[in-house]
Amino acid sequence: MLPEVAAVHAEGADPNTNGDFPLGSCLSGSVRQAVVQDNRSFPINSTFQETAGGQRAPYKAASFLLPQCADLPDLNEAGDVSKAAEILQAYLVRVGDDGYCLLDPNFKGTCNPPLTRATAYRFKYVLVNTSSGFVEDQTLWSQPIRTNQISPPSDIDLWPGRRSGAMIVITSILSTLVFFLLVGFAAAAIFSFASMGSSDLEMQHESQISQEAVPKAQGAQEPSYASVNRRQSLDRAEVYTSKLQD
Amino acid sequence: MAKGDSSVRCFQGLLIFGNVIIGMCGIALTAECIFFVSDQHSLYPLLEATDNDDIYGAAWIGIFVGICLFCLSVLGIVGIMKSSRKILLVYFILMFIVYAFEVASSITAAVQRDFFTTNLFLRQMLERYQNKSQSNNDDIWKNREVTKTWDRLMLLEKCCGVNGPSDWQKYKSAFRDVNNDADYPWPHQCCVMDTLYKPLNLDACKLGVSGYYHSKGCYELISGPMNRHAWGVAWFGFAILCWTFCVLLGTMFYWSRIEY
Repeated sequence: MLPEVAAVHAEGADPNTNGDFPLGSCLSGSVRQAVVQDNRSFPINSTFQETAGGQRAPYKAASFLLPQCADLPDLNEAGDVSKAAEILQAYLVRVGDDGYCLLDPNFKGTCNPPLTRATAYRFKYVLVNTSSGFVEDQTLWSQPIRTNQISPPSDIDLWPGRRSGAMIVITSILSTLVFFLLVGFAAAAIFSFASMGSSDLEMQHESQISQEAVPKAQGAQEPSYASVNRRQSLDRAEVYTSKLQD
Repeated sequence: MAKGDSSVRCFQGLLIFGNVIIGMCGIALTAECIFFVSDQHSLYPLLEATDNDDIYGAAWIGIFVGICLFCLSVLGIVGIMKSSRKILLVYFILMFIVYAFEVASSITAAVQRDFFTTNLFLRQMLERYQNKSQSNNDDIWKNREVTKTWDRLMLLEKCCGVNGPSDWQKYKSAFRDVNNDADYPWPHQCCVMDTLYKPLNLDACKLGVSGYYHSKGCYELISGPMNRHAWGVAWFGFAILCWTFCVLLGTMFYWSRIEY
């Protein structure tokens, strides 16, 4: 009977751990023999708590029985829903899988709590003979695997940066249009008041003429537009009444 | 301006045509803005929670401006046909007010469009998603709405986070405060679901086995409709304003030549 264990050693652990747990790294091994061990022939049995999360020394993260390598499922079939659970079971040891063992005072056994953020970890598998308690074989330490540095959301900059061309075009052109519109209205108002003043003179002149020209206008049956100006029509009141009498 | 002159009739006809177009554009603008305000994609809570919902303000202005433009175009047509200086003066004054509002609406929509960045939605999602802190009623309500919207988005649109599931890994979040990393590397809504909306395989989803979680971010699904609507409000408003500008200048010219 050869149980297997994964050993974990933390390097350069960040002392400011605020309880933000990064994603536990997943170990996948076709080599399934693993033990926690110090180059001596007996395995490491120190726990996560004893080694301060692997800062002082390697700790034992998980142990499992030697799997039957004869009929391992095909890793390429992981996409098949019916086989996924079996494949994961056969191929994966997840370091940092147990989020609750640290909180449970009655917990017995190997605690495998989540790893710390922004820390490099090394892993190894050790094969242990349970009857003798000695290490039979072990892998080399893995390359350091670094967990993510996690940053607070307030670090995210919300400023959009460069303005879009559309916004500049719309804003500038519309402002200009409003300006021209007001200038145009002012010009129209000034022009119309100016022409009103001058047309008053013309009106008086015209009305004199029209009084003189009354018989002529009557004879020609000049069509009277609704828009013909009012002062004139007052002057012509007599004419209209006479027209009506006709 | 002499009446009955064929060129005057022609000019009157042009101005009336211009006003008819303004009226029709007004109705179209109202319709467009109502469509936008009705929030077909149910994304309003996301904008509201960022205090960046001015684009909805722009759309509301657009609705009323559209109605006003329609009414004013009728007034304008009557004024031009009667050649009444008084009616046209009222038309100008009201038109300037409406014009100013539409300028505000169009510019607001164009400016706000620039703010729809990934970071805006990312930060809001991290701060509010599943945030159960009891600060004040307004915040509680916003957090609940944001959570609901995100749950629905991720579940129905088959996406995860703003840029992808790694959003929950790179940043500290309210979600991370209430859920531990081992069991909830990302919300379970990110898992690929079967027809009964249960994860196909929860472990595979948590471990990130491809095919068992949605790796695509939701940003496109949020910003797409928002951007289209904002684009519509901004540029359609702009087009209407350009047209109205020409018609108003023409009407002013006509107005200045009407005799008493």
